[in-house]
Amino acid sequence: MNNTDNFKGYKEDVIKVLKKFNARVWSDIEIETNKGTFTGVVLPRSETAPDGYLVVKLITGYNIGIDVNNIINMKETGFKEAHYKIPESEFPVDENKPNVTLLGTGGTIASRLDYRTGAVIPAFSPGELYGAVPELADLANLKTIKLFGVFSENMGPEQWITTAKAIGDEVRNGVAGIVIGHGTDTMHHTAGILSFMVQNSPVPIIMVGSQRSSDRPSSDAAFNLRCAVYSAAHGDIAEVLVCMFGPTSEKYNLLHRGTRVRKMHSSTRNTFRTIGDLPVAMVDPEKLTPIKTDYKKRRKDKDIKIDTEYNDRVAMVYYYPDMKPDIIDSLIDNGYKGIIIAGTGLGHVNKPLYPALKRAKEKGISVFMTVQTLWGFAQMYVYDTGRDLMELGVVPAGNMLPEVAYVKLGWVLGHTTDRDKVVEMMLKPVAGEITEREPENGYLIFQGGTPEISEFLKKNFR
Amino acid sequence: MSKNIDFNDLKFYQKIGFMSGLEVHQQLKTEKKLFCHCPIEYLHNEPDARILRHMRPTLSEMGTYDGTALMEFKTKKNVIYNLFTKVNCTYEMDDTPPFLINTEALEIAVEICLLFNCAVVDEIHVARKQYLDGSIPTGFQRTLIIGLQGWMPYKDRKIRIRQISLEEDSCREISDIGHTINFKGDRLGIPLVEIVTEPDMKTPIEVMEVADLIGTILRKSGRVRSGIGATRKDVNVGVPEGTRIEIKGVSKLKYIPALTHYEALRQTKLLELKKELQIRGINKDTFKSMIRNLTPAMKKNKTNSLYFKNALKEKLEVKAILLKGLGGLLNKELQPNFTFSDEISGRIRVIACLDNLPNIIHTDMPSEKHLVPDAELDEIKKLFGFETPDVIVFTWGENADVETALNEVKLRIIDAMDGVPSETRQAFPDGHTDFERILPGPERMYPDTDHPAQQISKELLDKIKKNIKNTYNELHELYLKKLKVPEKLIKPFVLSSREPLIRKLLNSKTEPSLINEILFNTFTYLKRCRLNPDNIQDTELELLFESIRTGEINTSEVKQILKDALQSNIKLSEILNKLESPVEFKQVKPEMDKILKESKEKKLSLLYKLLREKYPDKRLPIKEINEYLNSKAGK
Ligand SMILES: [Zn+2]
Repeated sequence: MNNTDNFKGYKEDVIKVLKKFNARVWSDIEIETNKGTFTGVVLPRSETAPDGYLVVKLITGYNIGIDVNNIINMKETGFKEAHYKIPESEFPVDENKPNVTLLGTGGTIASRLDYRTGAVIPAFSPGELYGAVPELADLANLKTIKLFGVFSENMGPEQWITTAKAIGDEVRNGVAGIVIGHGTDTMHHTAGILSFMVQNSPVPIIMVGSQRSSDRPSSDAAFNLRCAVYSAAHGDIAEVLVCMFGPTSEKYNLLHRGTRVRKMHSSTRNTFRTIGDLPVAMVDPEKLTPIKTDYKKRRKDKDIKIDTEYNDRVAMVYYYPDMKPDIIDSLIDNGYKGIIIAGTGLGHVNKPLYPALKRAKEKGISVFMTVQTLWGFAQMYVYDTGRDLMELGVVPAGNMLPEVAYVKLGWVLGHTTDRDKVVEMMLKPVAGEITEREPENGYLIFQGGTPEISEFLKKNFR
Repeated sequence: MSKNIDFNDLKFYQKIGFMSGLEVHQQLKTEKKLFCHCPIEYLHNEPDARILRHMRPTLSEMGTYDGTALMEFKTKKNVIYNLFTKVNCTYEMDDTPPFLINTEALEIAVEICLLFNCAVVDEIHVARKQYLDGSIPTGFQRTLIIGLQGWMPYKDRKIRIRQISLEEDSCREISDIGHTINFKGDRLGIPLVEIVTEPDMKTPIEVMEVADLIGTILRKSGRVRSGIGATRKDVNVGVPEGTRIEIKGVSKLKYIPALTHYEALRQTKLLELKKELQIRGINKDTFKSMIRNLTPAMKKNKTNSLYFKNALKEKLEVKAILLKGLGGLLNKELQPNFTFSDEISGRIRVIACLDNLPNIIHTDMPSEKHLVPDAELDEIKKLFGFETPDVIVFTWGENADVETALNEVKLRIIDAMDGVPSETRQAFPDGHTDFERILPGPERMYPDTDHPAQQISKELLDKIKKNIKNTYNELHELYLKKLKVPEKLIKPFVLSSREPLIRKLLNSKTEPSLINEILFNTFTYLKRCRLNPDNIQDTELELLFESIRTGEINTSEVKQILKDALQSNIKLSEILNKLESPVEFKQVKPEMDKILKESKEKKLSLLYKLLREKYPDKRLPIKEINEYLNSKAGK
């Protein structure tokens, strides 16, 4: 063990004291301070926490921080380094059950606690997952592939492409379905791009994550994972879908189409909503109930098409009043090939941007308009502004969600930079990213406090 | 059931090795909750929303689930939270991470730590304490140690305080029927401190007294909530070779002696049972049991046993377990009218969700209790190959629950081989306790990753220290040693809202008994007359005591004077001022003699009342009257 490991996370002041008394991280320690004598285990410290305090786990299980200036003496009475590893138990294989592959991209779906130190250890291999969520064995045979371990905000084209290719490989190997473990923050971006990069899949491709980490009894992780594995193994919907809580109550999950789904709350369990349409289905660990009928059905063949061409010179601009044209100009000057604007209302921006947009058109940059209201269509022929903008080459992208338009434009530009071709590909729906109609119940943000909604909430689980 | 027991018999409790400590939970008087910005209020209207959740055990150290936890999970509970728009936000729903800790609550907690002479920690770390019972939607309670290693004076010694932590309160339980438990969200998140003592109390009475004292110190601080449920006590009891048992939810102080006494007794009885099992040669290796499903046979042969018949009618399963060689032991009385079999039944009620009692019957019960006809019982015994001293335990319910229940019977017998299993027990007013849940250990604690560590600066500590005045312990010391107030009056005096006045009166040599008579007894009387003496200002009362001291009025007149003042709404000082020119004694004497002769009741107060009616605004010659009366009494 090297020296830095001995003082994990600690800085100068504390390291000095630890060295003085021959103590280190993971020491069983007796600490005499001018406030009393305490016994416990020295824990590592968070790198971002200030210097000067030693973190000790007391035998009662509580952690406290001790100001090193108060320490009179320390005595190491034992030492046991923590090994953050989950003992594996073999995932049972049943020939009668479908095979599902779980692709890991990062984030923890399942985990366990290290009680000596209180650390949370992720579980990922089938054996570890079986230990954490044994019910999975009732649903399918599970194989896991760890593609990478990144936080969801660090997902990008490189990871998208790797994931798409891995899906292709697994499907050609004959799996009954794919589950992708993913952090929730950018899950809808990844769901969007996979809907374009992975086409004609004969099996379900289910994205899943958790909003409450799995080290807590109230976690949504196990239920999400069970619903996802059920959908992948037994579901009939061969599309890229996001599988997360429907209501905040643990009643059922919704399967959202990858191009219509969006994370809508920073923390609730039921944060994922289908925008401008209906979710494809409801699912629980025992059954799947379709809501829509127009989905692509599971097939017996392995004719999947993986198309990962991508051009990352694409940007998204969220319009705000008084936006200056230099925002657009800088994108042009930096060689961007495509811009998605999230405009106000039906798809508008202010007049001062016009010259910059005109310049973009002249440079052959593809500019598309989406709406920052998220619900509804960009309909630019209604007002003069919209008509002016179309004149300047800004193309309304229907009811494509801004994030979906952004990843699709990158994918389209990977295939062609010919502006007419780009427009044609962008506006031709591949996986439901533009719909012809928004059903009457496609927009539902109910307002709390109104009598009818109060009544509804009293009678139903949220 | 607790009559004729001396709960303060030190010798007896030393002999059985009685050990007891307390955990006092006290809500703090803050404007908002601990980790969110919701206001604090108990609501009684219909809830505005409901959510359904399930709690899932987390993996243990070895990467497996603890057997009991998994069992609890299999017979899983639907946990329903009833929420209120007014006092619940998405934090309590466990749908939003916690906000930074409420500084008002933190400062009160530090103050309380100082009151109990604790070392305040230099840096606080929020921990999560797991609860699988659903009482907190996250599945854990956020809790943080504020103080360690304190003490409080009691009798002539110190009771050690192990620790004081600041926690968020849990939900109130509304109902727990079968597989559905309902909670109410209003109490959730209210800041509270948990004060844990060392097991320093030597008798049940001491436990009660220390609990009372802790409550008194807290109340005197003025920083805590009062009312139903604002203070909740858990009592820990153990005997040598027994274990620390946590008795939860002791609602009244007076229940403590019986509860702690009978818990200590239960542990000694369980240790006897352990010995008996050893004598019978039953241990983990030799213990044999056998489970049979009796449902098909009973359906075929038409059972005549009431419980089984009803169970079959409701399409439930009837199963039984034979416990080899355990005959007679289920009837062992652990507490008055509470047998080992009742203990097993309590555990099944909780863990297997079989809450219609009786949930088990067994062959050692008298037939009027198990209600299985002899012939039928013989058949079953034959089926099991029953030999004396075996015993068969029956249970009925949904298949999964019955499986859990029978397994639980087995587990409880295995536990009995070790003596006293660690568990928390629910308190009942009559002194007996019943199983609540397996006692979780320190391994249920882990750090809350949602909070940064927070330093408690010396400046903050000094500021809080400076603001602490007139603590209960200080005043207790002052009243006892310097002001010579009898012990039993100290608590009411110190806790009184008129404590500053009382101290002033005592300093000017007023008798404690007189203060008690007027400010407590007389005030209580006045309140019973639907008057409000609390409205009288301290300065007015000071004048009243002054008038008594100078002899302008007699103690026995006070009640009437106060009543007059309150009823007429005339200021006390005005009434007292009116008593100007004194009546001469020789003027009063004939009147007195007349009154004394007429009235058979020679009550002093009556005498003064009549004299006062005669001379409504004169000062009476109290000294002479008293001397005269004394001389008459002397004869
Ligand atoms: Zn709140």
